[in-house]
Amino acid sequence: MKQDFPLFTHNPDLVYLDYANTAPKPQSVISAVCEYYTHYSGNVHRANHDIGSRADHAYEMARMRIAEYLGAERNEIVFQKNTTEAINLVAQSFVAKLIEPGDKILLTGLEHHANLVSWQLLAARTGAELVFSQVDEDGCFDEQHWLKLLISGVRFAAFTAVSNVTGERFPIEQMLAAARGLGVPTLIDAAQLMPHERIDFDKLGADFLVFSGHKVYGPTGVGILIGRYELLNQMDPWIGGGDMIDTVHLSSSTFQEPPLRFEAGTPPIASVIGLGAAIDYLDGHLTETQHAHESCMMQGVLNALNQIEGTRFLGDPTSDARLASFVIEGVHSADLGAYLNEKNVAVRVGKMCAHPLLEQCGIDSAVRASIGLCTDQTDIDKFADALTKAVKRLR
Amino acid sequence: MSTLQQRAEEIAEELSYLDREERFEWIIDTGKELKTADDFQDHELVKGCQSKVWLRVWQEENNLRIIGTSDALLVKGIVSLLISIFDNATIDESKSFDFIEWMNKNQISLSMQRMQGLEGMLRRIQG
Repeated sequence: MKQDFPLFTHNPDLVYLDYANTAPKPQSVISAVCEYYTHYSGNVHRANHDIGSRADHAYEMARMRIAEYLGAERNEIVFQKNTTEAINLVAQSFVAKLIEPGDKILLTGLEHHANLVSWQLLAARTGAELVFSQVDEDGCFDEQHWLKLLISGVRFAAFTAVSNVTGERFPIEQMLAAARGLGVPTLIDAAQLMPHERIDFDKLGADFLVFSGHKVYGPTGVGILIGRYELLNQMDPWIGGGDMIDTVHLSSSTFQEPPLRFEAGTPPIASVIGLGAAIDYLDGHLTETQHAHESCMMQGVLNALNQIEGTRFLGDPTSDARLASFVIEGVHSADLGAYLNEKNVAVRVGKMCAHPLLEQCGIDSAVRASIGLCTDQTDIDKFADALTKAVKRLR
Repeated sequence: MSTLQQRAEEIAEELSYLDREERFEWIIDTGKELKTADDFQDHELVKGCQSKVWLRVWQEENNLRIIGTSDALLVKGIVSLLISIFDNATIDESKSFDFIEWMNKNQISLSMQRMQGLEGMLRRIQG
């Protein structure tokens, strides 16, 4: 599959194990972006000429394509800048209206800052209280505790589908069923799920689902909010400006229907078109065979790590994840990351935008290796070799 | 006693015989060999990005004195390099020396520079 990705053609020795951070882009995505800028770089929704119409058509076709892939309606797909912005939109435009001071918003102890700080800002504004399901000693999600908090009465529940630190996939189907049963609206942060698993928004039964384009092999600068239309339709715009209005007077305005109501100003047109191409690529390649291949590659990463004495994983490494975060006794994570980089192995080092979780695990800084569509046995062998050398040298 | 400039040139000459990989290994060895105090205080901690760095900087007459360490080996190597160059330099010499440019010129890898909050260390040393 690497032959589809110019990143690997131009960096033939690169061992890329940082997919959870951002994914490489296939040629089809790069070409779609390039074609827009080369052949029809007009603005959308406001042009009275052919170039603009072509841009408009491509932009809306991308929306259609994304909706089809995700089992949603076209008008339920809102283009935002990224996952973070999409969560903030839901917090400020939907949840803010539900909240009375003292109302609870349920999160988990494993959230990325995107699904934490957004709610902290809302809590400060509205007087809401944030409650968190606990993380057990191994850094795993405690479903029973989450259910207990849910039953105790919350106004909203937001949770990640896959932890960006431990790779654990949450039992989102059961969690959503429980929340629905109690009439609690929900938001799923699917940023780490989407690159590895097909989902059907309608069947899943969440109220809102968010993810980023760049993690699903698409361009940066575009993220997706999928929301149930009747809920989107209740929401006021959060950012005002051009394109999202229906009528404008000096003292007041009326607004477009969703999704355009939430897409003020000129959107990242090329990135949206590129994301449409990325979804096509995912659709063609995220097969059951690929799923089995990724499981096998991940096992290779874990085997390499288990060869090293003193490896400690964050979370449960045997859970068929697509990433592993770890520390190695006697080796500083920063040193390990730098050494691996010298051997052309790209991993993530640090707190992975999840400071509270790392703090709870008593870890200053961890290393994360994450795999994706192009990961192959050569990558795993080179990783294992570089890791062994690194530990020998750095201890 | 040699000047700061002379010491920097001596190290640059030593590095000039090494390729990129060997320079990286050289920094690791330099870090492993660094002898330092073990009584650093909280206020001597320099905020780094991914690792902890302690620097003690003081003046003896008109000369700068430095000791320091880090919990990460590569950063310790950089601290050692800073000490080799800046320790015992005059205040004027130290202020006019561009360490980052010197690192770039001697091809000490970018990833090493980024990870250590080098600017914070240089602020402690150069004021």
